[in-house]
Amino acid sequence: MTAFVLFSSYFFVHSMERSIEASSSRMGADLLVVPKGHGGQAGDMLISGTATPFYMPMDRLDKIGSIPEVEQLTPQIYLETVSTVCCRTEGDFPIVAFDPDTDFTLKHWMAKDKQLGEFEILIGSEAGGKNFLYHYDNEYVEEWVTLFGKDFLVKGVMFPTGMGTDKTIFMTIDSANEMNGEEGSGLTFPKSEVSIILVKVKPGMEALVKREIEKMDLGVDVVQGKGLQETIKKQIFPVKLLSYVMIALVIVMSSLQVMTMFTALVSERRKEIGMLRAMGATRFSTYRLLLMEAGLAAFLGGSMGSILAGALLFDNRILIMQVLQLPLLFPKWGSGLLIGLGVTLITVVISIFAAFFPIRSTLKLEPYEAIREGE
Amino acid sequence: MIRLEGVKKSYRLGREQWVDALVDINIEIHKGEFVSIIGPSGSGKSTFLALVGLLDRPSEGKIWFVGQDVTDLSDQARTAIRSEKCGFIFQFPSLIPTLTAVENVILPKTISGRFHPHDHQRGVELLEAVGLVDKVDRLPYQLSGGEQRRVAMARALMNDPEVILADEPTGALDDENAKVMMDVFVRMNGLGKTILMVTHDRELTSYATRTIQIQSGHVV
Repeated sequence: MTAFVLFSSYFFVHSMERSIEASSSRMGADLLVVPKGHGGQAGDMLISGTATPFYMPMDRLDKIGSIPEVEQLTPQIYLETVSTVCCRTEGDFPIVAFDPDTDFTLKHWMAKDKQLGEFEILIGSEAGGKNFLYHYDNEYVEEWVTLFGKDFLVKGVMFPTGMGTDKTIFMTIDSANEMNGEEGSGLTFPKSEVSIILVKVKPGMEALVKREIEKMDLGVDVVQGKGLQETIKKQIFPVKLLSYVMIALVIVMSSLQVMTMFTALVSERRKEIGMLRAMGATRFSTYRLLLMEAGLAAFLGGSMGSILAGALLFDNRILIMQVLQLPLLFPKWGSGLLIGLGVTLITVVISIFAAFFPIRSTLKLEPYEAIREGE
Repeated sequence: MIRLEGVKKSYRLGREQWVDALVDINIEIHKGEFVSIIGPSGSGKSTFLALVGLLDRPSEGKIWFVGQDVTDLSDQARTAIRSEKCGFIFQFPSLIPTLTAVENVILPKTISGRFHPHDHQRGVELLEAVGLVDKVDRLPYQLSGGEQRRVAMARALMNDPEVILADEPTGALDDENAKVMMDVFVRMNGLGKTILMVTHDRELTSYATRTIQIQSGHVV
């Protein structure tokens, strides 16, 4: 039970942290670089997802990337808002092209890390209807959307962001380039140009990099997106703290529970312990024997609890998402295994610690006293 | 071999209430004696056996065991003496339910960390001595009460002890099982082992070479 609760709690905290990380990354590309004169629209673009037709040369990317304090940068091209049917849902969907190779924002919101190929798209959580997200990993669900005269396979879906991106359709820059100006596609945008460059900089270097870009005189506006990210972190801190307090409480409660259980168990077995001591078992070897038994029982119980919790959470992930509306990002198998091992180890340590005190009180008795009290 | 001088043992009943289980015991038991200890319930017989077998410490007085003053010995030293020189048979068999008969017999070797592979054969031989050679691999629940007592007896002999201490070894046993056990005691006594046996049954005192009667904590 302890392992089950610990595993589940840690899983939720882990998911929440990954979710926060995803939020931070999405909101705060630390800097948004747009063509000069469009700085005021940059935040709106990000939040509303509106396709706004402004462009700047692609070479800005290399120039900004040459600043040593820049850690990552990725371009996006805002194409058009298209009226179409996506996953049997009719609507006006902003279409944005992004570069999957350098992307560091959208990938954190993907329900499942899937590699996007040519003529494959990623859709916002509501672009396919409110419930499409809950079927994202159903292998029998295959949806196609016609955009600019081409059929695109819906390869991935994003978790809700509460922003315009929830209705946005994302395709790769390669696909957009291939259709650009093609007869019948109706899609035209300046070749080798991008709409926005999202920049991630080294911690604390936002202002410096902004100044550096401005000094380069690239004909761009630089907008700092830091405030939103910090606000989210501040808002989420009490929730995180509460979660850790809950985990600590579970550990304390479990310790008390195991202690009570072992007190009863050891009392029941006082006669047996006295017998073992009479037969020549030293205090130390009896300690070791009983603590090993406690540890082994906890190891088996902890492993089973962790496996059961992992299996139940994984099996019911869609239901959990529906109920909690929380973008649960499952840890990778390796991390899951480590969490399981960690939880089992904690359970074993708790049990050994909790069993120590009742065992010690019994072993303080002389063997005959233990036998008499056991009777 | 065993000497008790002015031994007193008191147990606490309440906060400030004590009861004397044994008072002023002065007695000497010689090597090779078969001593039966008799007396009514609550007279202090089992406490006497526990003190002699180093399972408990006296409240007052001194105890010598095989020539050594063991009264104030450390727990480790007393455990070592118990392990090497004493074999206990209790009122209840208290076998470990998940171990077979032979595994229960060799338990004193296993828990004291002195187990050698040939001890298994010795365990089988001891079971043979108590008439259970065909039940070596049975679990305790597959044995009758009398058979469990006999396994416990074999277990007491595993370390080849100099002193065998038995607390009501035949209590609630049928005549046949009781006779098997007493025959083993006689055989062991014949091999020079010192035997101390607590019993209610006056008939069993006929097997002993000496009888000690305890009444209200006093040797009478």
